[in-house]
Amino acid sequence: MYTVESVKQVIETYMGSTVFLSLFLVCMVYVFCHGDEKGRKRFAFVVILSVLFIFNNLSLRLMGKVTGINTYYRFLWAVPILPVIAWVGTKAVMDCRKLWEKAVVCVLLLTLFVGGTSTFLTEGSIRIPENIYNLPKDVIEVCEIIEQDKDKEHPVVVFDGEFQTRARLYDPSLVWGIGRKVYQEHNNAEGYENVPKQYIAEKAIIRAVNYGMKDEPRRLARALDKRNVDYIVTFCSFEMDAYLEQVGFGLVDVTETRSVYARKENDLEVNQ
Amino acid sequence: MQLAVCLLVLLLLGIEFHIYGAALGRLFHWEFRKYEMGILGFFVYFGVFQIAALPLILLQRPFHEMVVLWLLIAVVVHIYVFIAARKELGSMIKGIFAGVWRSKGLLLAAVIALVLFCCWFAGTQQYVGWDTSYYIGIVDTTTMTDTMFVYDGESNVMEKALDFRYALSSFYIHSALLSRLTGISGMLLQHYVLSPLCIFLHASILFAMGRRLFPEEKKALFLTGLVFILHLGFHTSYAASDFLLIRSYEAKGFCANVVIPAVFYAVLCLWKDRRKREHWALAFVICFSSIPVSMSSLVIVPAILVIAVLADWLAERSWQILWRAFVCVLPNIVYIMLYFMYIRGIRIPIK
Repeated sequence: MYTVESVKQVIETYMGSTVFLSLFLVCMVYVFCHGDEKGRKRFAFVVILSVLFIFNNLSLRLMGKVTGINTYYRFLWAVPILPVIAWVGTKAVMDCRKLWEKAVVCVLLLTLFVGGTSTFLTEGSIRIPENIYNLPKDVIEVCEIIEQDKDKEHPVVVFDGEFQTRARLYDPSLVWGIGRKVYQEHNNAEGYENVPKQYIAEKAIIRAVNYGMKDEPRRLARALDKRNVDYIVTFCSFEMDAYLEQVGFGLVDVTETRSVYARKENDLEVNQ
Repeated sequence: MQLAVCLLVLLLLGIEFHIYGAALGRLFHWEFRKYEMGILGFFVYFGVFQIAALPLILLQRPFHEMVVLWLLIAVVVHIYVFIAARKELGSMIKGIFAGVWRSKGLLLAAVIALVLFCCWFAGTQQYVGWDTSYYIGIVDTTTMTDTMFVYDGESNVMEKALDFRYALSSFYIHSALLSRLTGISGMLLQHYVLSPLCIFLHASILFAMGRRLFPEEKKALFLTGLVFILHLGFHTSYAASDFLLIRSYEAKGFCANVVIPAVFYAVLCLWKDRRKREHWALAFVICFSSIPVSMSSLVIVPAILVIAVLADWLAERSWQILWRAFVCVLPNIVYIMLYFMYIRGIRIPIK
């Protein structure tokens, strides 16, 4: 999420590089010019009231206090950009008498929108999922490894950042050892200077599982104890076997990209 | 097999919405257009669901009680519709098929193909964000722990208090109920039932809007298709199109593409004829069920309705519409007050 500063900035981010805003404004002028007198009045008042009540920086700050400033962009959903453009587009196409005229307008519309830089239809987006869950094979394999190995119903697992959200979708019994807030705000390999005290344990785990840092075994062991972690899932490429062995976790199994480690029974004294 | 069950659930939900729409129409002797019934029914269905679910959520009752209660309500509604509104339901189904038959042709086929393509596209996207794991997590955690909003949806850690950012809306509890009844996981239900549902409802509302704006069905169909083409070209951060084609299984997707367009539709109806009670009923039902569908509707929905009605009032000076509009947004005002109390620190601790 970007830092929200003004309504103008929210609109710019929302519209991106599309031409929809300009088109919408042109269509609004068309709607205004072609409406009856009552319609024009209503239309003018809607625009004035929207600016007065919603689309100004004071409202942005006020709404921010109630629902959170980062969600202000949702007010732009209340601007019927596409229906208004489509309404004018429909009139333009359907009012053409001849078939070739309709075809020309249709082709123009298609070229404008589907061929633009902001289309959803890119090479990577048209894809066949590799499984019904639409999750990478590795995620499913990791969850299955934990499922086979676990001796409690809800084991606490720490994952690298990419896997954490996906594994949760496949196996709801897993409990996260690292919270969302810490992952979002302190996901880096740096030190602990700017980390609040309550997040230091989770930060120490992030440094190990998400960045492969091997420089603080005692702190990591304490953090894993504090968070009651049962399993660690991290990249095979980090080659953490020996390091995690030191903190009381042994390798259970590996997939193509990830290694799964489980807490070894009676091995906690190593860490103390 | 699981996909086939998802398809069946989607079909059954479509039928349920029409049944709930017909029940409301019969109960108050309101006459809605045939193409409005599915849309109205969706909001009635979630409104009734919220009435059943919210007290149980706030009282932190087990989830299975919610399942039993909802099944009882469903039985009562179905018996009522079977006894009292059988004819209306029959004529509605006949009307829908007659409408499809009337509009048959290349345009109808193209629009249906486009909508189905969007469903397929949304179903095959691999976007997984923090929100995704939270929302789908709520569904699975609810069925797994037999609790409602007692555990954090994403981390599975027990909450200290009910989180009103989510607990005031029963949308995901409804998914959990479907999950419990069908045995399908939350992930599959959201992706293969709720996601296409959002897209179909969006198309229905656009078509209904088109019917209000143009006298001909063909133009309404063209407008629907055109909006979908435009959606495919509007891939930016947080755009409604993004929530239609990538995140349509989230409550936010429903807010952006179902609830808000439905409010526009209600406003269109009111602007056409604000004396017709059915139009006010539609506006009220949509507002009432906006929070059950998505907490994102909290301020947006009343804001749209208030601005639209104020504009109408300024243009025509009819005091009666202000009073009616106030009644429509009253449920949202209550939710805003509850939410405000929550952010001021008045919370319901987990027992």
